Amino acid sequence: MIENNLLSIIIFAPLAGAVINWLIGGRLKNELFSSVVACGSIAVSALVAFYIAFVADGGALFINKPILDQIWTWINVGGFRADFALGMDRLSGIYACFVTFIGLLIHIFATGYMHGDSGFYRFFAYLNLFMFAMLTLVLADNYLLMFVGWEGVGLCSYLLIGYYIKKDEARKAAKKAFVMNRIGDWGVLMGIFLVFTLTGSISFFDKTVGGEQVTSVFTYVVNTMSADPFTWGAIVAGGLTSIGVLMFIGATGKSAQIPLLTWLPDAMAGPTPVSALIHAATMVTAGVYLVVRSNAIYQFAPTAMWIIAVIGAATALFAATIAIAQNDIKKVLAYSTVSQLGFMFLAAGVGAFVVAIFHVMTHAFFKALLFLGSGSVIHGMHHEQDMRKMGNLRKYMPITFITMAAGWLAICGIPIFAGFFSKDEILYKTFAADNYFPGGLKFPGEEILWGVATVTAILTAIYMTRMMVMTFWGKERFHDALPGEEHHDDHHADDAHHADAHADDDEEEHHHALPHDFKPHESPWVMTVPLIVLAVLSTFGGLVGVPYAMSSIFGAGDVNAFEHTLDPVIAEKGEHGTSEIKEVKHFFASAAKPEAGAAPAHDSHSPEVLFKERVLAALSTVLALVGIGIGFLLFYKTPLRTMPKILEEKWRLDEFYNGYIVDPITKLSTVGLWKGFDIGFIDGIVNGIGHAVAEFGNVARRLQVGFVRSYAAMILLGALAVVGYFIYYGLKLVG
Amino acid sequence: MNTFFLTELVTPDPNVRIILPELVVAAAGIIVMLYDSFFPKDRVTSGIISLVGLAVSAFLLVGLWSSEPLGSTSWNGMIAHDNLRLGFSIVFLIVTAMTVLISTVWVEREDVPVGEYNALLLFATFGMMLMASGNDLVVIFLGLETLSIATYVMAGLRRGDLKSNESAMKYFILGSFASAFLLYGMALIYGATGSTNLTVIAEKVVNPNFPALLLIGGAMMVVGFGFKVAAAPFHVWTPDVYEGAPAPVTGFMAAGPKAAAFASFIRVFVLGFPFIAGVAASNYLHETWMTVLAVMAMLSMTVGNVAAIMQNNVKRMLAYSSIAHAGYALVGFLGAGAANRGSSQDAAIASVAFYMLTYAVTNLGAFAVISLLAQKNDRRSDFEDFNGIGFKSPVLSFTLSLFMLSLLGLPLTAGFMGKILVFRPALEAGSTLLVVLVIVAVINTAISAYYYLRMIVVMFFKERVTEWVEPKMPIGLAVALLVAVVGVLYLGLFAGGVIEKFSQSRSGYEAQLK
Repeated sequence: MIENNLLSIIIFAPLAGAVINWLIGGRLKNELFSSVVACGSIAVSALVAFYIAFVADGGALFINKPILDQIWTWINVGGFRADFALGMDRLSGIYACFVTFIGLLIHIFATGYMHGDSGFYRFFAYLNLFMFAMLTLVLADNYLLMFVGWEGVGLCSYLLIGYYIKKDEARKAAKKAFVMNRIGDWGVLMGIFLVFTLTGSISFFDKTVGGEQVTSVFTYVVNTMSADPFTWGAIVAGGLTSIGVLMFIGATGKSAQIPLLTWLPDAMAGPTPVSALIHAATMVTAGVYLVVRSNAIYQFAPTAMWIIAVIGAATALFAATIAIAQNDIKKVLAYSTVSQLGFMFLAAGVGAFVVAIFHVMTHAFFKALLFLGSGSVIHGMHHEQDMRKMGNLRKYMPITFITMAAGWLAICGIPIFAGFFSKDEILYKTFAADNYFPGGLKFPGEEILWGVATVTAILTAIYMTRMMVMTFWGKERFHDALPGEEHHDDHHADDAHHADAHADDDEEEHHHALPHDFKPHESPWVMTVPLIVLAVLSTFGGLVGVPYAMSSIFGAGDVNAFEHTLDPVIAEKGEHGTSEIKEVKHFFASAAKPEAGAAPAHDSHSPEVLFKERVLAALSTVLALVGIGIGFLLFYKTPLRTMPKILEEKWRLDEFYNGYIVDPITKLSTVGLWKGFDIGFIDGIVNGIGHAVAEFGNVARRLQVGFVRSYAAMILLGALAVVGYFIYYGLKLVG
Repeated sequence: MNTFFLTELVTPDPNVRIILPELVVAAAGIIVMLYDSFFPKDRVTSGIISLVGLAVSAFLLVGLWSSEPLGSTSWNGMIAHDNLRLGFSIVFLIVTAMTVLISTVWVEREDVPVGEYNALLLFATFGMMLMASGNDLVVIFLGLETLSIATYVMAGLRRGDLKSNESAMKYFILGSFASAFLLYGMALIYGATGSTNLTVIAEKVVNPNFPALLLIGGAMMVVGFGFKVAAAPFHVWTPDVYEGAPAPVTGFMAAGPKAAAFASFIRVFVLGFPFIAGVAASNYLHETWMTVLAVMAMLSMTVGNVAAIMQNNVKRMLAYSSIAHAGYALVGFLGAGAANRGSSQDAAIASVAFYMLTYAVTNLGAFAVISLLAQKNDRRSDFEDFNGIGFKSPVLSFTLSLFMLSLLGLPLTAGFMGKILVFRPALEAGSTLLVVLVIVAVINTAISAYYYLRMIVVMFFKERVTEWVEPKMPIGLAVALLVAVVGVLYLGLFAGGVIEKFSQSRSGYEAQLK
């Protein structure tokens, strides 16, 4: 067991930053002070994270044991043990590195973006607090502490979405995000309870604390449990599949998957750096982290994995169709994020856990870039977010344009750019899901899922191209009035349904009406530098995980450093793992591959497989180009082309939820629970008790008269009762 | 017989080292009293002397913890040196030190003879420590009387105030009444077993001279101790006395003497009247006192909580709350009674000591705030007087809220850990009665939310009609508040170390030696 107390600095530095900004920054109201504190604390955190990941004790990313930091024993009751302890293994190492690094860039960007805001210190205090919670989530060494971080990021997300507290939209969005996440949190909590019930542990790592041996959940599962059957019944059987499904419910909440996805687009009401940090790069991928961290459990729960894959693919497609019809630049990116998260879950669901994490990382690069780019655009456009009022911005904001273009090509999946490798591998592994699905089971419906994912990939290219075209190409539309705007004044009653939905927007637009001599401007260097760094990462960041099928074309051999790094985390493969994990490998390998003898890693290097993968890669590149082509074709000339209404209205999912879930519940609560149960029953009981208590009080008052003699009499009565009881036994003893 | 007495007299066992902590406290009390008679004008030094005395005593006590073998006795078996003694004694010292600090505001305001007051506090502490360490009924009674007489006087120290006088008078009369029960019970036990030494008694209950006397004696002692810990139905004195006594004294009485009574209550019943398989007399005794105490615990919790709901005076509310808390502590006590001799019993006893520690810290913190706000003669101690002070005096109202939440037993506060720990041995004992008891306790905790949260609601959500002048906080009180806040959070978060120390069993000590 390797201990390194530096780990706690990673989480406590941002916490200290938050406290300092809240207590001192709040008094000083000095932007420079707040920026330095906020960015400085994250910088410290990032430095330590990289130091431990790459240097200390051989580097958490290179050694096979986690680096642990026991801060204190939190709970140790009966057989239940929860430590306030951190652990960095290869998985959390990767997470910690990109979270701190991207976090740092976004903090720097935000100092420019939030310039002049009256709540500057408050914003950075929340943002630092978020980093603390996120890093706690990632570095926690057990489920319970992870849940603390999980709740913490939920809270910070709530605080930051609702940061513009004067905006009604922001308040509502914050509330919605919070409530939807609660539903998911229920799942996580139930899952943790079940984990403890089944395994007697909640720890992620095997370790020794104070002479006490702690066995991790995963070791226990791998060594002593057997795989659940691949049936629907397994979901409610209370075994590993139930755990998997419950935890995935939590993941759908945090990572905005069907059905709990509608909060994320609304969350764009928060400041753009928040959207970039929390709602694109880090927090929303916590669900993926949870699934991959629990991969040992999922490997034994094929039903849960299949559900994850299907939900992931469905969400990816669903969100992509919506993204294509949005006019708000941030909404497009929000739905794009939901869609990309769907890809990650698809990967995890088919058993390609490493690829899921790979996509988490590349997505963090390019989506943070795109969000920050959109923030730069919004900043330059004086807080105008409607793409219909933009156009030809590349003339005014060249750096933003070039950097965003890198992100655009990355998300579309053009070779060399980061998104290509990860997305392509997801597509390929979905196509070949049978080889990756655990337990040697055949994955039902892999072709359909692959088809869905491919269509989504094309759609992704189309909507991203639309966004780029509407923003950066074409003619300037800064002063054009939108159809809805004129409409609104003249025919107020004509479309009652719409007037409602647009009322807020219109108000906003009037509020932000641009002056006639308005010219967009490029953002200051604090904003462009992070963009440039992220653009570089989005361009070349994917090279750490080039699959063998591609690197071998150039004779580079197996250079997939990313996959090799994460291999030991995945119980299934475990080439560098402990003997216990090897056993699992054996179990699966023998069942999965009839042509036993060849290890799975080598197996995937056979010529046919390589050929198939290369063909698919070529195909997806072509499809991406086709998508971009369609995008230009459709939108270059007519950027304001009307989109299908149902897509613009997001498949009316919110209306559906409101009509069929929220309203009935409200009604039930008002009529049934409040008026009927509460006022009738509960109040009846309470009043009844009140009455009884009052009666009791009368008795008590009569007893508690304040005369010593009556007190003495009562004591005497009590004494008589006690003595009488004792004597009753005494007589038995004698007689 | 004669020779027996002779040898006892000839070879006394004056292991002074072992009662040094007690002696230091008593000596500090005497010094304070003398100092006060020479320099009656000096209002600061006596407090400092008291604090120094308490600190030295605590230092010695902690030293004894590791230097002296636990489980040993001295002074011919009259003083026991074990976890029970050490854990509780630490609680007393903390309680007294905090009371000295809190009282700084009150002694100034009421112009109380401060030296007298501090001396009385130290003598009371001496009595409490004797109650925890006494392994002999006589020593326990001696400690109890030393404590009681000091507290009678303290309750009436505000001579000009009618309520305070009434409180002292009632406490004195009823306290004497209860002492009589206790003493009579002791006499009967002596009659039944032929000894006042608890170790001897524990051996003798297997085959007592007069089994019936043993049971009646036990009953009498239940009454006497029940009065001192304010368990229903012997709680009737509590509301009047607590309301009338000055706020710091009330805080002290609810925390210190109650804990002391618990210490000797546990020693006499759990260690003195054990369950021994296959022996009728001792088992009847054990079974009876367990049942009676279980009923008393349920009554205390229910009466305390339900009555607390109806109070309009904060001090009175806290008096009823203290009755309820006695009920919770009794749960742990019964857990100790049901546990097998050895480490599980040590752990259960430690849980009660820990519970009293958490309760003492929290309760004294609450009384510190109330003392500060109450003004002269505790006039301002109704709920109404706390209306709307929330954001006007954030420090006071937030700390008071924290204490309320801890009394309620919210996670992350000391109260939560305390409750968990006392309920655990009761559940582990595996008896239906105790399981029912824990269920009643949990339901009662829920009931208690009403009045603890009401305090918070009043402070933060009620409009204030009258003008609010924030009282100035003297340094002593500020320190006490800080200690209480840190204590509540520390015990709520890092209870592990403290519990370990409290429940370090004899075998644990031996292991340490190796």
